[in-house]
Amino acid sequence: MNMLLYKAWLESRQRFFIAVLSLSAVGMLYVYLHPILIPQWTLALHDPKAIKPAWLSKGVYDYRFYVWHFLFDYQFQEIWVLFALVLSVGGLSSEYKNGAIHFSLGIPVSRSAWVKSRFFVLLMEGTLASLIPILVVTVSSRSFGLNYSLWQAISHSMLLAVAGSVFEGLGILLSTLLRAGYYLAIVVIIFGIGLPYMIIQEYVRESGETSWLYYMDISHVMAGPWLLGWANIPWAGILISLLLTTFFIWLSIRISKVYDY
Amino acid sequence: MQPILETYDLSKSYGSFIAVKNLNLKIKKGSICAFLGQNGAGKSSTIKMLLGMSRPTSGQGKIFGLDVADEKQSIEIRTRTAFVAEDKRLYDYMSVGEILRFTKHFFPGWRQDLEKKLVGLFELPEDKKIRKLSKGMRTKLALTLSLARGSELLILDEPTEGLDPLAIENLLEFVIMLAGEGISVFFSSHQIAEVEQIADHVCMIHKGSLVLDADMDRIKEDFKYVRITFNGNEPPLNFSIEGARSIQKEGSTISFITDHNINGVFESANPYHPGNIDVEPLSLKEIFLALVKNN
Amino acid sequence: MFRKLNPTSGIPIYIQLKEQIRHFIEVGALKQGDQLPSLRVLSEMLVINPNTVVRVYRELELEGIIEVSHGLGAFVAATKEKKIKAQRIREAQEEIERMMETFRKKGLTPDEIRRLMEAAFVQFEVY
Repeated sequence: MNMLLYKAWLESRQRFFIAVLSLSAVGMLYVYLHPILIPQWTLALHDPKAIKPAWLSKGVYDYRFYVWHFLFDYQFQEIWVLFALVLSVGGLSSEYKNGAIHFSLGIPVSRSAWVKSRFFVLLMEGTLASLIPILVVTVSSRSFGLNYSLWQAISHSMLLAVAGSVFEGLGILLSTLLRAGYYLAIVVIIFGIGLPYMIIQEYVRESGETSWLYYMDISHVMAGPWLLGWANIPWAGILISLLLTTFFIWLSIRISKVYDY
Repeated sequence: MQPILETYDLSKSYGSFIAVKNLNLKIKKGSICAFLGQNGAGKSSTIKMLLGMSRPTSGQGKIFGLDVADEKQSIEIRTRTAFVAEDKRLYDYMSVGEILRFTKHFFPGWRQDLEKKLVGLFELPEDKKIRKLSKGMRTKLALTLSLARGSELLILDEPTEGLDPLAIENLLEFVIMLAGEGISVFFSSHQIAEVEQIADHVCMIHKGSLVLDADMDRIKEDFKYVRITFNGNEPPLNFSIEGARSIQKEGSTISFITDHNINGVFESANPYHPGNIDVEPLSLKEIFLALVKNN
Repeated sequence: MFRKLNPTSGIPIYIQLKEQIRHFIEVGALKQGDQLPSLRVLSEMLVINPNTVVRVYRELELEGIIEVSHGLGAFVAATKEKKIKAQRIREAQEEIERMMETFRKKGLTPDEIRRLMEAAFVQFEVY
């Protein structure tokens, strides 16, 4: 099993580093924007004629809300999801098109082991791709004189990765079904899963909790409450997400057992 | 003695296309068996079924007495089998050294001495990434990754494809050396000369069915080229010989290939009063062509 | 000393190898008591199936040309030169008989054949 994990790591290593770098850049961008946006917001706050969102006050006075709003609830989350999907491509399905499939299948390893090792590495990569950039943000915030709670950083990035594992499961399922090469699979997965996810997220943002789509809005769970504490961890959402992920992986294993390669 | 590899009416269809039809193979332990056939004749489909990569549509296959269609038993088969696929692509993102370390992990009987010998023989560059290797180098690496497994059985699909003559000779010597240690070999090849050189048993598949399954010596003894000359006249129109293939009429001669008993040929010909009958040996290539160009 | 055999020549490989070994003994490249390469060494050297070598050694042993002692190896047997000579004479005799049959079928009389033979001998001796 160790060797299978090592192989899955080597296979996705480059994409992982790009993900960490890109997500760190996104995080840093908003740290950098803070001193520019806050004065503008403060002005709007004191202007009785300006249109103000309800959270504006929190955004101005609490850096923790600022980070949560732009990163965990918005940009960072979306880009993380895209990278999670990109990272989910690989293993037997891609090798079917790109060649090494017969070498892999000639090795005395079960098809389920191939899928599981792929998934395990993906989980690790997804978690680190959330944790590391956020830690970068936390550290660099200090140099801007901004304090971001380490607890919030770790708990939010972990929540994002755990709840977001459902995308990793879906990515593996779709790529197992498709058996397309790396590039085609990435394109299909991004459009097939990434796009609906973003559309749902936008729609729910507009129509709020009244829409039935709210229940499909995983991004809500991934963001969690802006101030995360032991009392308000969204357990139900996490559980549903993990159950779905397990289901998708189980399905992927069943499908790969049945396929002729 | 139980055959090391056997199939019972093994069949595979893809939709309405029948790739393999009621294949019955029996390969003895210690044999070097060649598996001949044109492209698309069913060789790779058969091999894929034997290794658990695709499921038989019907019939059964056994290696080491284990069922090829059962996943658990198939894993055991693969632990004891060295396989080289027709498609020799490997993991582009690994280096030569990395894929060697990766592979040997799965084979408890890995032969470090053979690995060293092959890496030296084929001059494989340990640190080079596989995506940077030439096709010939990749083939040599694929062969190394399988021959060093210390397996009881080698299943090689077109092992010499893309190799230069020296590499081919090195490979054949290596296979002979392993055969000398009692290892069984089942290989498919388009290079009939190689087959003739090292195989002691030949199976030929044509359009999904087995058309020949015999020991090499028997094939060479049974198959003959016959040329019958009728004195001055054209061969009689109604002249036919049972079991004759690739029949050609030219002037006063009629020639064909047959694997039937030669005396039987003489008996069939005598009533027509032939002037002369030549009986000559055949190369395996001529036999193969005669069997696939079926008339 | 051993040369690679030609698999496509139509002559079975085992016959080619037997011939090679007999020839070596005849011309003295292999002498009485000399050891022949082991099964595995010879099959690897010539890149041929080990079973072929098994067969060749077995048949040569039956013909008395070589001796195989278990554990020690295969050796050129004593007085094999005489045995090979005897075999050669036998083979020549068969060939002559076949030739005679052919001539007869072509309609040559015994006298004509004898005359042709004598003329050939004259040439033979001159050269």
